[in-house]
Amino acid sequence: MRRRDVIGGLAGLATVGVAGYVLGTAPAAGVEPVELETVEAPGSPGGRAQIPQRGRPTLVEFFATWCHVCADSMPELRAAHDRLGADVQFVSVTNEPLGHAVTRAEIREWWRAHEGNWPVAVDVDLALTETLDATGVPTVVVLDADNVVTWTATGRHPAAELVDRVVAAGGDRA
Amino acid sequence: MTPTDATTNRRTVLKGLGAAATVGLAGCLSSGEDRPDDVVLAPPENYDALRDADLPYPIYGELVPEAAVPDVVSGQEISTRQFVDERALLLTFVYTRCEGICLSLGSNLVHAQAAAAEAGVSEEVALVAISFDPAHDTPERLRTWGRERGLDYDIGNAHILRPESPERARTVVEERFGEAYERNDQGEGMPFLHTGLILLVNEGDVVERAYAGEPPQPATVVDDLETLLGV
Repeated sequence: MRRRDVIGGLAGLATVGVAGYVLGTAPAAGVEPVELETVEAPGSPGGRAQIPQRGRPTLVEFFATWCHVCADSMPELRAAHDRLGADVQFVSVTNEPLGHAVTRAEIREWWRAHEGNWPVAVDVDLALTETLDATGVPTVVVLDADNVVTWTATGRHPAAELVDRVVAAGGDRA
Repeated sequence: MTPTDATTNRRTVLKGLGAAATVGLAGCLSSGEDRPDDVVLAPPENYDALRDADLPYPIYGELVPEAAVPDVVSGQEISTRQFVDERALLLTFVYTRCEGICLSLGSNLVHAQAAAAEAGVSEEVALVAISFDPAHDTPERLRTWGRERGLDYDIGNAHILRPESPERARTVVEERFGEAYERNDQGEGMPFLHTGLILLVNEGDVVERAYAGEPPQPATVVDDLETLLGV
């Protein structure tokens, strides 16, 4: 009896300890969405969009129109976009200073040249760039439906990996 | 290059890269005491650790090193100290062959130039990139590199400096500024490893921020510049 009490007590302590640890390093909370302007371009209705959108997984690709690796990544992104279902927010974002480094027309032209066919947005205030900690391009970020970042990486990635990462975050295939 | 030089360079690189990372991780809160004179911004969070680390590059409160290098934009020689009493200075070190994943060091200059233009303070800041790969970075390549990233040369506050030779680049970039770099024979699209230093310098030629190690958020650099300029 006494032995059992002791064991029970220790186990309880251990459980509390673990719980405390989990609370202390709580899983990352979902990020707040940022409202960005979308550029009118193929697959991209002009307007505004909440990124990342709560309620469905999101893939954000940060790019720049001067970035060769970003251009090289477009075929993989296009293939991944084709293979993913509608219940995924798929969006490319540039933070190049609008009206200074680049114009909407130049973004549209780049988008056409590289055959984008999903929403493309401009992060004028660098708010999404900061929220998702993108310091270089290209950077891809995948978030789940609660806006928790599940994967972030720089560089060019095969379409299959992009799809797998989004599916792992709860996304559906087409 | 003699083996001795190579060893020195590697050590400097390791010190520059490693120390910055370590200091960044330590993230000690500064006591805020012993704040140097002639600075506008509050000390960086890990100021005490940075001071103790004896870094090869200038940090908060230290005078910006002097170097005069030809500018491929204006065709004039530009000194890193010629802006005293006139302009703040945002300075970084680049090479155009960085075709891989770059730290967007040049982009920070572009964001800063755009923010300054929007606030109407273009004449209160100079944006300067110094190449450490002049063997490959011809004046034309450097001008194109800056233009592609969105630097507006017509504003007159952007300068891209090209040391006359690789030896001169080593002297200016590594010895004077502590921006360590060395050839990287393995990384595809990344012929050099380098510290990735960005310096924000006030009108008194005193360093307000030295961003190194983890690349800074462009918003952080813009915010710091705007605070410095009071806009």
